[in-house]
Amino acid sequence: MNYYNIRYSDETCGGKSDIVWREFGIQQLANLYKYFGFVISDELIPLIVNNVEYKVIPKNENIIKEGEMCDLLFFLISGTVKQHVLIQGNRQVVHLLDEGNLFSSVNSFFINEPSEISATTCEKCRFLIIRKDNYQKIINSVYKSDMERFTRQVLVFMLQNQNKNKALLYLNSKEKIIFLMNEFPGIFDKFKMKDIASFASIKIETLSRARKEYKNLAK
Amino acid sequence: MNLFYQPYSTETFRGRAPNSYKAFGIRQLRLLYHSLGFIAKPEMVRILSEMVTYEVIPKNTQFITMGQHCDKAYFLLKGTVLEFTLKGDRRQITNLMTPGNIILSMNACVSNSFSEISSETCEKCHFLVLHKKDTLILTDSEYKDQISQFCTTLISRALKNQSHLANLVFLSNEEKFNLLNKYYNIIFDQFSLKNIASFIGMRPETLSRLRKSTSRKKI
Repeated sequence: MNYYNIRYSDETCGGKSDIVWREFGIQQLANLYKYFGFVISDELIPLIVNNVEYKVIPKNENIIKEGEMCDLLFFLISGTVKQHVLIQGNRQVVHLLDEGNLFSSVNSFFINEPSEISATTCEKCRFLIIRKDNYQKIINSVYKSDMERFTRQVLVFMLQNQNKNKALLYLNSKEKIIFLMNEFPGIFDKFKMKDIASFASIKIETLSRARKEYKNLAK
Repeated sequence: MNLFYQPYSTETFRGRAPNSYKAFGIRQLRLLYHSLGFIAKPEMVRILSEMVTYEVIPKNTQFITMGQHCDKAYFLLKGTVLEFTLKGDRRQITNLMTPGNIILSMNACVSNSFSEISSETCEKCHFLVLHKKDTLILTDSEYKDQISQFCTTLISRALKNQSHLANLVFLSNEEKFNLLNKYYNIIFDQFSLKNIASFIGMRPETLSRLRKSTSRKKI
């Protein structure tokens, strides 16, 4: 499941070394850029390459902390990440992200306020990371207009996705399962039941039971 | 409650003539622009004044229809508006809008697809209306960079607000009511309980009971 609610690439990485993964990440980022209708020129690629870092982060690492500033923009090349907030002292999963997502703390990165969310890796993850000063370098280049439109487009898709997820508020448990299966196929293969249950705000037992019922019906 | 999650003006309108309303609207837009850290030059305000039209829409009129194209953005000057989606035959309120909000269909205006929501006036409403094609006058002007940044900031703010509201899904009925009471207290004076209840995914009877018990506690 990604923020854009779209499949913009079916490519998989055909290697193991960091250099291959980094190149694959740049290619995926370019695919996303093209998907939104922008033309990627030969000069833009080196500009991006020079301003991103490749990083592997182990499982269960907190990469964004709620209430703290975050000046990093993450592009998830492989692995899964959960975003969560503390509500009444409980950890509440608000987003589940898989590869192909571009994410950060919107509050921190775009509005200069402390982060509204935390983000934790669910497994070993590979990222391309863009620091805010490097992001500004890209934004202030000759591609300024396109890059700003691209950023806005990504934010609009995030907003649309957010609105879509808000629909969970109005659904009962069974409807939530159908919603999850339709909107985010593969969610049950990638994330823990505990995290999905928290995201959909249903009890883990209810999720498990409803999922079984749904599977039986599908048969 | 506004979509940007920050009060940017306490001015109220005193007048009746359409010209006064239009001037008031332009001033409000300017305040919104200022509140996000931008400075509107007089020339820019003049261009904006020529671009927008003033419109009065009667009560219970649907001005954005789900599944149709809508190439207009509405800046609400006076009155209240509800945004909803259709779930079968049932209306599901997804946003309650008060003056100071920009109302548009993200899908239709930004992504050029069919509208994901419908919008309807709850009472007689006064708007400044901006046609998508006319925005090119500003976005192609010398102010294009500033306008572009303004739009990005506005979307980030809306995203922040929607994320805040999306957290309603994780709350119990009492917690939902407390959140509304704390941050959006004013909506109880502006919208019917039925609409507020639909918006937060609660039965009107439950909302009414919670409201009564809270006012009793205050006494």
